[in-house]
Amino acid sequence: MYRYDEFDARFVAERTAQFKDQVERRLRGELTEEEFRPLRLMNGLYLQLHAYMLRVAIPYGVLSSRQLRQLAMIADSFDKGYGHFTTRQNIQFNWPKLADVPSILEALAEVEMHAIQTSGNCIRNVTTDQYAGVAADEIEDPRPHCELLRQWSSLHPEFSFLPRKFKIAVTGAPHDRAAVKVHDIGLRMHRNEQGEPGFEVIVGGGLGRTPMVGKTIRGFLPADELLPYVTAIMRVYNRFGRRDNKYKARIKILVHEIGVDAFSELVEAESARGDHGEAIELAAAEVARIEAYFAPPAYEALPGKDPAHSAQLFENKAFARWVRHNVAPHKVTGYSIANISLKPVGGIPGDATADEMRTVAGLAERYSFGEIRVAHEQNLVLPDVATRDLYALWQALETAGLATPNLNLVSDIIACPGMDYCSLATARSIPVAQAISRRFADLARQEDVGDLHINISGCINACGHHHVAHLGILGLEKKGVESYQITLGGSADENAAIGQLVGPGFAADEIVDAVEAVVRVYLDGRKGREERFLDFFRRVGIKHFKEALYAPAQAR
Amino acid sequence: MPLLKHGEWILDTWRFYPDDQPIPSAKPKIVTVARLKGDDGEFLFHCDCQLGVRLESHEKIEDLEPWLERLQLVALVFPKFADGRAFSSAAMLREQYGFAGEIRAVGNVLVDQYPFMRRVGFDAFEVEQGRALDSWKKARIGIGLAYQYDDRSPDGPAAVWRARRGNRPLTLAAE
Repeated sequence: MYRYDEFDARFVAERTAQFKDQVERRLRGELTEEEFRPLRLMNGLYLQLHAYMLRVAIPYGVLSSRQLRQLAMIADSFDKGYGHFTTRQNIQFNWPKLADVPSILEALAEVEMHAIQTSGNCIRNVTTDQYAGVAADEIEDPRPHCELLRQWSSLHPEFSFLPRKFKIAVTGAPHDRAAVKVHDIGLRMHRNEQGEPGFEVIVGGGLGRTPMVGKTIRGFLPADELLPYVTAIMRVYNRFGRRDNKYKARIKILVHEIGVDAFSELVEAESARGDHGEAIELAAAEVARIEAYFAPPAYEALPGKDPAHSAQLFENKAFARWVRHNVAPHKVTGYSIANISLKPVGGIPGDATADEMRTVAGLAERYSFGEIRVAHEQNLVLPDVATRDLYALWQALETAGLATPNLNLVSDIIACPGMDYCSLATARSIPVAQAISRRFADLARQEDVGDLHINISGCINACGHHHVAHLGILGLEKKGVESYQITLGGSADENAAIGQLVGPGFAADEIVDAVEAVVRVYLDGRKGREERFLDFFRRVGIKHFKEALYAPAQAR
Repeated sequence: MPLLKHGEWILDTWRFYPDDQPIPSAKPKIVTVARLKGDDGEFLFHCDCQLGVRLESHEKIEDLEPWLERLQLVALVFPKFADGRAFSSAAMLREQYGFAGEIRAVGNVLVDQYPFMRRVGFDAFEVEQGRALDSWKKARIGIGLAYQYDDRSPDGPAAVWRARRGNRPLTLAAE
C-alpha cells in the first residue's frame, strides 16, 4: 500500500500543528464558534446532537494493521471504545472531546493518517472498489490514480470553497463495487483498442434530495490526461454551480439544469485552453512513483485447488456458508478475498469495537500481508488470504464474533447514524436496521431470499444510500411521529438505478412487517432462486408490490 | 482600508468609484464592469490613467477579455467566505490570459484563505479594519508544502511533485 515519504509526512504534520493552534485559540476563547466552524469543518470535526464527531479519512478504504491498531487505541483512549465505518470508506468517532482532538490528529499522523477534507465544501476522500488490485474481474488497478487524486485534491487552493461537497469514486472493474454512477465524478478505468489505459468519465450522479444517475461525458480519457480534465470539470462547477440554495448546489443540479451536452462542451472548451504539458508530465511521473507502492505482495505459487480446503468445505456447513457468502474470487490462483461482515444480528451496521479492530489487525498480519480494506457497504475486507488459510481465519473470526456469513444478504444493511447521533436526521435508522436483522436472523431464510440489499437513511439527505438499495428505507417525521417510506428497485452498480417509491410510509412499529411483506411478494412470485430480487422487480414492476403491500389495508 | 501587498501593509493609491460617483480623469481608479462597457468605456480606454476593474463573483472573467491589456488591476470580490468563485477567476487570469497586473482580493477577505488566494494568483488584499493584522503576515505561507504544481505565489509553499523530481530544491520561504 502507499507509504508517506518525507513530504507527505511533513504536510500532515504541519496541517496537524495548524489545527492544534486553532483548537487552542478556540479553547482560550480567541475564536468564536462561528469563526471556528469553517476551520474545524476543514479538519473533519462536526458538532452533532450530543457531542463533536471526528471523521477520519481512510484514503480509498485501504488500511494497514498498524493503522487499524492506532484507530483502536484512539477509540479506547478518546472515545467510548468503538468507531463507526462509513459509506465513504472512512471511520467516525462519535464522542471525542474538543481538547483531545489535536492529540487524536497527532496519533493519526504517526500512522500516516489525517482528517483533512472529510467535511466541508471541498473534494472529499476519493473512494474505490474494496477489491481494488485483487479482484479477479479487474481490468486496471485504480489505487495509483486514487492516490494521485488524493494528493492533488489536498488543500487545493482553487477548489476548497466549492458550492458544495464533492465526491469522486473510481473503479477498475467492469462490475462496479464503488457506485461510481452516483458520485459527483465517477471514473471507470478501462483500455482502448490500442490497449492503453484510460477512464470513462461520468458526472452528475448523486443521492441526497435529488437522486440522479451520472452521465458519461467522455467515453475514453487517456489516463495521463486525468488531472487537466478533472481540473476543467472542477473549474466549470466552481464557476457555474448554484450557490443560491444549498440543496441545489451539487454538480448534478448544474448538469441537469444546463444539460449534459452543454456541460460537456464547457468542460471540453476549458480543458482545451492552456498548456497542460507540465501537468501531464508531473502526474505521469507521480503515478509511476506511486505504482511501485502498489506492487503485488509476495504471493506464493499455490495450486488452484487445495484438497484440505475442499474437505473443510464438505465437512463444516457453517464454514461452507461463510465461504459461499463472504469470500470472493482473487486474481491470483490459490488466494481469496475474505469479507468481514460488521452486520451481526441486532448490531449497529459499520460499528466495530476497539477489540474487534485489534483482532482484525492481527488476522490481517497473519493471513493478509497486514492489509485491510473498508467497503462502502460498511464491512471490512482481508484482500489477500491464501485459500488454504481460510478455515483457520474463519475459526478465529468465529471466536471473535466476526464471522457473520451475510454479505449481500438481507441483513447486510447499510444505515446512516440517524437520529441516535445526527443533528440532521428526522428519524432513527439504527434501531430499524437492528430490528430487520433480528427478524431475518435465520440464516437459512436469508439464504433462501438471496441477494437483497437494504439501505436505510434517517432523512432525505440520504447518507444511508436508500435510493440505490434494492429495498430502500427513508425515515421521515410526520407530525412528530417517525414514518418510513419504502423504495424498490434501486441499484448502485454498473446498472445503477434510483429506487421507486412504493407508496405511503409505515410507522416505526410497522416497517419491519412491511419489509417482510415485500420479501414475501418476491418469494411467492419469483421464477426460482435464479431470479434474484432485483431481476424479479424489473420483471413485475412497482405496481405489483404496491397492490400486494397496500391492498389488504384497504380491504380491512 | 489596510492593503496588504508583497507581504507589507502599504498605502492604497487606488480608489473604487461606484457607478453613481463621477470619475476624475487622472487618478488611478477602479470601476465596475458595467461602467467599462457603458458610456464611459471610450473615455476610460483612452484616458491617461491607471485603470482597474471590480469583478463581482457572478461576473465572468471572459467579459474582460477586450480590456485586459488596458487594465493594471483586477479586483475580485468575495461577497462571503464560502463563495469561492473568485479563486477560479484569479487562476484563469494568470494562467489563461497571462495577466501580469495586480489581482486584488476585496470583500469578505479572511486570513484563513490568504495562503490559498496567494497560490491562485492574488497579490493584493484589502483587509477590513479591525482584523488582527499581525495574523495576516504570520499566515502568509500556511502549510509549507503543496501538492498542486501550478502555484502562482512567488514565495509560496514548495511544490511536492516538483521537489520529488528534484526540479526544485525543497527550501521553504523563511517565516
